[in-house]
Amino acid sequence: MTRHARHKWLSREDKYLSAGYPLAQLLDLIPADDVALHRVLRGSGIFPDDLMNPACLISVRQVHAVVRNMRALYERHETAQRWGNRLWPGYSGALSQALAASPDLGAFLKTLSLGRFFLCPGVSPVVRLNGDYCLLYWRHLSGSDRSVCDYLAAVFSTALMAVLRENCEGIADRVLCLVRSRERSLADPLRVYLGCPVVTGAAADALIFPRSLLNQPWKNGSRRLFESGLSQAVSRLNELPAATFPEAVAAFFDEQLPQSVSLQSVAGHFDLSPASVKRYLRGEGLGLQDLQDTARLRFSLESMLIDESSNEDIARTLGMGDGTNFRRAFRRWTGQYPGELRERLRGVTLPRTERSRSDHTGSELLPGALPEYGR
Amino acid sequence: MTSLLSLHIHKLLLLSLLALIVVILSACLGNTKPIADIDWLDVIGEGSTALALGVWLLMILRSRPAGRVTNLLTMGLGFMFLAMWQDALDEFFRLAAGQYWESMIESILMPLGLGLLTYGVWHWHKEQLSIRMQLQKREQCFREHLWLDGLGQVSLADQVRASLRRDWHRPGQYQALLMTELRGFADFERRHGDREAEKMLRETGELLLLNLRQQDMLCRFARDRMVVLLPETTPATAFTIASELQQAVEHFSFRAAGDGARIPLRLDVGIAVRQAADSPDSLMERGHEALARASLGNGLSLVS
Repeated sequence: MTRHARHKWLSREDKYLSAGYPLAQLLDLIPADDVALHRVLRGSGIFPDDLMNPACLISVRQVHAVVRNMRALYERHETAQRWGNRLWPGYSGALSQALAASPDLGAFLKTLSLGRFFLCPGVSPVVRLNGDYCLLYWRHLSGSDRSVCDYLAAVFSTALMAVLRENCEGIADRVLCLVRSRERSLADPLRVYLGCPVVTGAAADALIFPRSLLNQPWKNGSRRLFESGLSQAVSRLNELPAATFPEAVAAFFDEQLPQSVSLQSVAGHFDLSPASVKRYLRGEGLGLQDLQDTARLRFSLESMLIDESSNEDIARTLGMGDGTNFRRAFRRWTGQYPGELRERLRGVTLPRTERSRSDHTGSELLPGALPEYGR
Repeated sequence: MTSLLSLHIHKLLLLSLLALIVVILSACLGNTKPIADIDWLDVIGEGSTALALGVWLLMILRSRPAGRVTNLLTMGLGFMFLAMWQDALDEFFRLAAGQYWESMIESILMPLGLGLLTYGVWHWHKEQLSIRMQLQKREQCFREHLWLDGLGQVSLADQVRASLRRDWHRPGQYQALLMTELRGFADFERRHGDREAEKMLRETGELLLLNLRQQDMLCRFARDRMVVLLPETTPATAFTIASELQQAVEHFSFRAAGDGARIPLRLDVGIAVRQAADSPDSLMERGHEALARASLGNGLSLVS
């Protein structure tokens, strides 16, 4: 088991992001007849001049403050979907080059996971392989409020689908989008922008697609350009810590699933005192129980959706005793009973898959910083 | 919003000046009451009424262009404000007997203000009826400003849902619904940018409105997807309207910024026909399905 040294985590307060990308892209969506830039930047600690200053660096917390304002001020302008639509490959140097030249979805997701601090700040894309399916979760580990997390999930889902549409034919019926939010203002536009089936109130933000899609060659891909971009990007990424502390803890929870993990075990794993673990997480706006619940919820959701397990089976696997305990816990995590979610998913068919199993493996797919969580 | 207020700056200055003159008159011609003699309940009641009238006046001026109705509303609320202002000042200054100007302000300005406000509201009602004619195809039975769309200048799909739910059980009311989308809009958006895409949405929205009947309603679902609600319409008529909308859009000369080149447009239309077991949501769902088929085929599809 790898032991992690202290003080090597990236924090949401660390200023490492350029103010130009991706924030300027979002601010460009402010309507032309409205000069409310100062209102959008309010409370973020960013000033209009900072956007023009290449030396100015901003933090994830500041980006999220702007996102919160943007959502509140321009809710009916579909800014999440419009931002997402043109977000990637973007203007992030070698990382964008690697994204633009990705030869297939597997390579794209690998780049995305490596460059997540720049490409999707504050959100961790987590890829899981489960049977014939690949599930991409947008994991919210920045401690931001629900409205920001829902908004960002819509942004990144739209961004990925925009890239997929450009590179793959007939992608619409090969992807299923799960959206945690039940708000129509996010869900209606998502349905149109994504072009694939969207399930709202689905307890997680995720995209599900056939595993074989990972290897399908892309129209605009170039392996040489991709590898050159990726190698340059890696040298830039090495200047930053490999993960945030919540990411590392969440990965540890995932590794331990379906067993539950105590605070002492987490502290022991990271060679920290229990108080330090709590303090580090509190500094990121999160609690240990939140992370554990998220991991168990994700496990339950997959069991329900892909394995079609019963409440009793899931409860037994997670060590929760009987189905009633699981139902109660599920309601605490999501605000709905498992039966309500099953009802919501009724009639939704998982994307069609080819039975021939892809030879893609977890170690190929994702870098060490963000391990692949296939069962 | 702020620019509308700047149109009325003279009115606000005049009202402020009059309010100040009333304060000076009361201070010069009357004696300040001792604190113990002030009836604070009256101060709160009359002061808050004056304040509310002032706030109403500001809100009206911030949301209306200049014109007759605005002038009447301003004068009505302004006179009422001055009357209540003087009433509130009475609580702080004691005027000697025989100073009739104070009771004249209170007794004449209040009914005069009420009369002008009523006359202004009557004209405002007539103005609303005229505006309603222009907005009918966008709102029909409901007006809810929270449903107004930020991009296409029509209402959002919530308006359609509310109308469907309201009239769902009226016999023969909603038999057909159109779902439309511009073919290649995503490419256009990518190539020409958001501003041009917004312009295209606004202009095609106006064009569709022009080609609809008075009783029809157009709303935007998301992006370039529009919903047209057709009350008391047979599937055959819906088909005809859908074809006419397609032709109108094909003949529309949308010109992009820059070289002003004409961008050829094509409208995909899905027609959803109501079935016995349908609910408002399932009819909308059928509209999406019909549109998906239309965009894969020749641009027009009817699903029943």
